Amino acid sequence: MKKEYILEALIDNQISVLNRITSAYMKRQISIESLKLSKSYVKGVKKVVISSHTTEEVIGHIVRQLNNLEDLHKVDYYLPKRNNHKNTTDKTGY
Amino acid sequence: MKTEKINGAEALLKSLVNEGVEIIFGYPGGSIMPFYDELYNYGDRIRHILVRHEQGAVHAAEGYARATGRVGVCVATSGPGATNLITGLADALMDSTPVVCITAQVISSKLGTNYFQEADTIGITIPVTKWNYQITNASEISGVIAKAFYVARSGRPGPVLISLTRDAQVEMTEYRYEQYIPPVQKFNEDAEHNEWLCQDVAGMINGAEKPLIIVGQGVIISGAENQVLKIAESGNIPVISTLMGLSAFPTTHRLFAGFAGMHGNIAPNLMTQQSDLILAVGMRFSDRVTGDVSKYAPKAKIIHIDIDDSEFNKTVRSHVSIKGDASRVLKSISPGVKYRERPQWWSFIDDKRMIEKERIISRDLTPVRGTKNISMAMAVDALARIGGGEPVVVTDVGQNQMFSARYSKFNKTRSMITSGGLGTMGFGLPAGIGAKLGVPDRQVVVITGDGGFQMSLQELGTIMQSGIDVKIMILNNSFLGMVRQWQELFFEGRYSFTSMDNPDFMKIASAYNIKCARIERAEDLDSKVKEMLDCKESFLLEVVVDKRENVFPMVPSGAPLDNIILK
Ligand SMILES: Cc1cc2nc3c(=O)[nH]c(=O)nc-3n(C[C@H](O)[C@H](O)[C@H](O)COP(=O)(O)OP(=O)(O)OC[C@H]3O[C@@H](n4cnc5c(N)ncnc54)[C@H](O)[C@@H]3O)c2cc1C
Ligand SMILES: Cc1ncc(C[n+]2csc(CCOP(=O)(O)OP(=O)(O)O)c2C)c(N)n1
Repeated sequence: MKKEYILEALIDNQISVLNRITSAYMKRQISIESLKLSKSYVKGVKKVVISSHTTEEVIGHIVRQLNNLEDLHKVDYYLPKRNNHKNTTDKTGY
Repeated sequence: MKTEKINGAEALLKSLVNEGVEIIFGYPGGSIMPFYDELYNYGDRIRHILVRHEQGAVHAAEGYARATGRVGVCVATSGPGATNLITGLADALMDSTPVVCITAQVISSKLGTNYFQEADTIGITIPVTKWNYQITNASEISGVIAKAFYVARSGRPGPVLISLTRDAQVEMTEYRYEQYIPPVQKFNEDAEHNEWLCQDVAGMINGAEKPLIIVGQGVIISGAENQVLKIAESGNIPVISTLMGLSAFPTTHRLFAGFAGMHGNIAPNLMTQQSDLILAVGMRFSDRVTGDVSKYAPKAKIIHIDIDDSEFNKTVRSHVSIKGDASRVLKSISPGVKYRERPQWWSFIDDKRMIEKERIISRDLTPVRGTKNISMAMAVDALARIGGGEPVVVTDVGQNQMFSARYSKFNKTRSMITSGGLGTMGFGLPAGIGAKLGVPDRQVVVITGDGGFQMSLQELGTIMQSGIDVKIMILNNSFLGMVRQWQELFFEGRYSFTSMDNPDFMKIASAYNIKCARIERAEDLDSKVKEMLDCKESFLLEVVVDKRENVFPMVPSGAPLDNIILK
């Protein structure tokens, strides 16, 4: 079932990582509803938040694929209402 | 410690030497000239192979990587040089092949101005690389190149592209080689897998009545061939292979039951549908392997071992998935595996093998329709018999590729080099060149169609100039055979633009000073294949084959694996 899912990622400040994340949506023809790039607590590391409508299966696969990216520290998804829910514990302490 | 200053181009060369690079495939041009100028002085440390098209360079780097397990390297100029690499990068990404491509870029101050031969190489190559990066300062070179090689070969290997601006090549820098140290988190992920789970898996295997091992390319990448052999032998378990896994398991071994999937052997596909336990190692359940996913392996518990966990449950649901390097995971499973006879399972397998022998193989291996004509199967079989399973077989794409997969024999691993995921016509010849340069002591034979050969035949010039020994067998059916087959089977015989008027391949080979022969009759096949293999230099053998030959068996696209067409 399609729902709104939020993807959150912590990435290095490198030009191509953000592009790689958006292209994971692009190649599946999923349109991005909103996208925010902001500073994180760690210098040189940025936070990306993307919302889109898709299925849990697809967003799960996107997250597992993105998890292999270089220059990406952590990526996760959640439903918008449970705003602070994290699927995994944050090992890196950001 | 004060280090001497050198320019960026030389820093790049020093980094390549430090990474153990001995051969690079490349093509010069404006923006990459400072690098080529320094390369002039590095002839004693790095051998540069001048290809005839940048696509040839990247396929050659892929062939080198697949034959050796090391990272293949290629170099091209900015703009058109870089865009000519795209197909090869996409190919390497699909087939998890470690290559590092270095392309030049215009001066950094001119980026974005439509400067002469500017193309947005980073933007264009994002979807076709595992990682890419643009260097604009010479001081970055050492660190970035070390990372590039690490990324290309680590985890699930893949292509990396580094774009280097012209100014970064000429800028002076203090060079110090830096080894790349990966982030701790990623490093640990690769090392962990669950020991007790592996013991459970051994128990599951022992309890199964109809177990089956599927080997994929991950077995070769991991170097897990012996681990697979050990488990198969200690448990008396049949082994089947994907296209990309071919040669990981010796084809003449009694436990080897064949090649699976759309054009695979009958036994492996029917075994998959009957099996109660599948151990899938380093394979990604591609659609060519599974057919109709919803009807795939309906009775089996599936244990999936892969280094990339995004492959788990992507197409086929597994009961147990173990993330890790195949060799290490199998090492943990192996001690618990016990020998069992399973006579019923083996008689099922032998029965299916017999059916294929009687209904397909004997037909494929006799001249077509009472003529003296050669079939593609006969040509590949001749190479398998006379070559004795020793040569590295590099194929192009199409019917020639499928017959190569079905009829080749392999004694050694890394002996089947083919474009599987992208199916890139024109891959064969340049990949064969790269493979030969990687394993110069082995015989390398390129098997190609008349169509695919003409997509990269300019690389005969590379063979001529570098003097290497690559054998080329063109299976000439004067058609884009694989497409013609689909037109016959699924488009009511409307042969829309698949017949080919071909040039005289003997004249072409001769123009490049390459020995050659052309045969049409079955009686000449063995002697000419032998002549080709005995020849101490390159040799092009054109085998004229029947125009109407089809590859069977075939599971039509999207059908379940037991829906096999035999003719
Ligand atoms: C005309 C044509 C017809 C084809 N017909 C068939 C066919 O009939 N049958 C067939 O099988 N294929 C066929 N193919 C090829 C098919 O498209 C796929 O390329 C192929 O099936 C993929 O095989 P694979 O999963 O073993 O390899 P890959 O796609 O290379 O996947 C390798 C897997 O191993 C994993 N891996 C990598 N390193 C390690 C490691 N160290 N440890 C553990 N895992 C690792 C990777 O993450 C990946 O999941 C055909 C191709 C063409 C062009
Ligand atoms: C670059 C590219 N273009 C088109 C195709 C589609 N295609 C797949 S097989 C094939 C026919 C190949 O013909 P040929 O090289 O003569 O080999 P044969 O099938 O006859 O052995 C074509 C056109 C492809 N795989 N790659």
